[in-house]
Amino acid sequence: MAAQNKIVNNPNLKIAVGALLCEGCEVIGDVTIGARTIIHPKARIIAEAGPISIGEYNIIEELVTITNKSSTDANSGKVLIIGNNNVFEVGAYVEAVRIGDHNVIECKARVGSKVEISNGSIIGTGCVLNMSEQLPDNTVIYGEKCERRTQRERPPTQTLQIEFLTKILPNYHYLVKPNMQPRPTATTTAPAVKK
Amino acid sequence: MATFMSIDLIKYLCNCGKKCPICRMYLCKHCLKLRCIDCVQHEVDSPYCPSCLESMPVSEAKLKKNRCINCFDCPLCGHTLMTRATSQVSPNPDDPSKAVTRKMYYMACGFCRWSTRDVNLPDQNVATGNWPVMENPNAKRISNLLENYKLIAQVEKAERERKKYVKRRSHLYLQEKYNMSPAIVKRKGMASFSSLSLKEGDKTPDDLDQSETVSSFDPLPTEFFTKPAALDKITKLTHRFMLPEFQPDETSKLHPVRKHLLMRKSLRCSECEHNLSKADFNPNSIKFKIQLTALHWIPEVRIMTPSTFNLNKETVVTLTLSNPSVFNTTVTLSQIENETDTDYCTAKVELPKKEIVLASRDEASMHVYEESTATHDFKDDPKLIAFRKGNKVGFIVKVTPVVKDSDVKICFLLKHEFRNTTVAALQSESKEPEIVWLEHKVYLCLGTV
Amino acid sequence: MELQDEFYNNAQYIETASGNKVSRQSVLCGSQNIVINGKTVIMTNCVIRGDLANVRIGRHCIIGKNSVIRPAFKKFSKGVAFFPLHIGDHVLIEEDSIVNAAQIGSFVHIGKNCVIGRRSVLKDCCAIADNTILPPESVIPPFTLYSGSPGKMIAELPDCTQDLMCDITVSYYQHFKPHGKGK
Repeated sequence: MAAQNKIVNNPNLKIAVGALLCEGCEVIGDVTIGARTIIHPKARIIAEAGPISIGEYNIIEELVTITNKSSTDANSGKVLIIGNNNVFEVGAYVEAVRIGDHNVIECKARVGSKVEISNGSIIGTGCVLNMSEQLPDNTVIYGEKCERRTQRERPPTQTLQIEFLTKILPNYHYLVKPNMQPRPTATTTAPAVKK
Repeated sequence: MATFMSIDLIKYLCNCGKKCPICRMYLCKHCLKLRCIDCVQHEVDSPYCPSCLESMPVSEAKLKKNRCINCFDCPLCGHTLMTRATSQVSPNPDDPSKAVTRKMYYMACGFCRWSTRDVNLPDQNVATGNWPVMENPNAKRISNLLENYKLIAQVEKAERERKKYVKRRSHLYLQEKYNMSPAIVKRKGMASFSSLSLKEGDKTPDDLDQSETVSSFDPLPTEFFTKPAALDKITKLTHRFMLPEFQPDETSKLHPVRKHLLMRKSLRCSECEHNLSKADFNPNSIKFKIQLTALHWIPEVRIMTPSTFNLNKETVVTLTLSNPSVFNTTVTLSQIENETDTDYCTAKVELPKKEIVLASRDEASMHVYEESTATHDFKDDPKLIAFRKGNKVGFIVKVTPVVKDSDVKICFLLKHEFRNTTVAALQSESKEPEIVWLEHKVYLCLGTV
Repeated sequence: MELQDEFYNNAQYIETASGNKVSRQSVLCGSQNIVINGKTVIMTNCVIRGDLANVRIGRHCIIGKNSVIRPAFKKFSKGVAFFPLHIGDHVLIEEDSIVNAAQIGSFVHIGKNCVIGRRSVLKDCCAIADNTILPPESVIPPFTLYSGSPGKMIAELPDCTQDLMCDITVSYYQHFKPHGKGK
């Protein structure tokens, strides 16, 4: 496999033990990946304007792009914090200010750089969010016109899928070795916020 | 291809006067005429559900109002609902200290995440078939009306028949108006004919409640002005249209929509009533019992490459002709003399004057790509024939656009041999199939000036 | 309109004995679980996830640039299983489409920039218009064209769809030529 070993050369990449980062991803800049998070091959995580901190139990599928653009000057250097139990489906493009927990960003959805997603939301397939806004909890965005509604429960966790993937992915992919004990996310990101 | 290539560039003239792409046309083998999808008779073969792909007889579908019993659409976004299973713990009726887990089912939409729990529909204990059917509030009125109109139809027809008495006319008019199958019409016609005088008195059409005209309305409730609008609780027009009989005005009143059925159709020639297309009954199958699509019998014209045109300047265009038949086919092209309509003809065209022989189609060699294997004994004029490949021939036409600022459109008459294999087989087994010459007008849009 | 020649860089593609043309820039994960039956073109930057479950692709298929073929998972009470993904013959998938289906029949056309939801079943002879989004577990019956988000049936396909798709995929393969050959 022709892996571009950008990951190996990245000194600012911190991977918690138990996280799974396939080789063949592009990870640039100061990126922290929490325990039990799975990153499929061909994903791109680019900490361009500031660091990116990804929590635990997230799934990031192939061709997903997560960038910290911090578009406005005021935000510059701010950390893009992604919480726990989020799913980024194939081809999602995320710039976002912050992403909470239990969200699903579906295939080919685009989240702009001024959007803040709280918890339990679903950004439907192919939907685009580019306004400056904070999504309330459990919002569902779907359809051609990006219609919105609130669902009763947050989307179910993908723990079973993570378990399954943790078992099979190492059989097929070279993985990037974890270099960080679990749960130091808070300590590493705290100084960055102050900047 | 219908969805991949621009098929609208080349159209054949149908016998009904419409111009259609060849893949939407049929060749009736009995009248030897082109028929397009719009001038054939459509018949419903078997309705089926597009979700569970189960087919049913027409009568059953009619009874179920052309909707599937088991499949539901989401009332919000229209996607098919999925059945989800959950386990529910309830106390055991025999031994209250123990709990039994039962599987309960609810339906949820995988797209907008609407679920039957959102509108407090109780979970069901079987996966399909047990969802409550909402009764149409106007069902009685509708069936009353229907019955009444059937009665009126009967009386009207009887009257007409009595007037003509001997001269029986066709029931086509009535049949269309009240949607009865010919068999029923015949039966009813005969019945009413004999027993009319007895029946007429006992039920007259006008013992039906008259609809009342509403003249006064309640004034608009003041809440509309005083309370802020909760847009997420109000349904949209599309949601109301999805359930026309209930027209829910609040999202809490939404109810799963039974899925509409699709149908398998068969087509008949409108003149000789022979079948042109009859699909397999199984909705999963892509096989046909009868299929006389024009593409299988008539040489197909295509444009080889897009070209640029200049006004009043001759441009050489390569067109291709492919032969669908298993025989070598001779083709001649000629001008359509009286075509002056600039909607369809905006350029002068010089066609090959000699006839072109198309090589037969050979399924086996279709998948061989070495161009060297294509050896032909045809003596071709290289000025006319650009290339040959399998059953395909590229020929050259010279096009001179004459109309300013418009698409370059040409037309010609395609005359080709046609061996009617089915008819020949019916008449005599040993004989060579009879050769008929068929003519089609072909209209092409080549590009812009 | 006949299909036009499309040229590729010979060094960028691997041609197998059965006539498959696979771009070196495509990512075939778990290639031991991927079966491609012959004369199929897999273009640059495609991702085929054979590591999740078996993927079988029939003859004369075309998988356009940047497409993702990915077996779908389903949650059961005891865990997760990825469903094997079968694609029939003469299937054309255009660029930037994501296919999470459970099954794709033969003579199917999927347009550009589509998303085929998890465990969808596309029967033979159906078509998906460009930019269509099919939600999870959609079923697409034969001879229908689906479009929109969520995908809805908008038209019927002609009876001769099978012949048309055969013709397209075969001639696409014929017109997909390496640089400097045959010209």
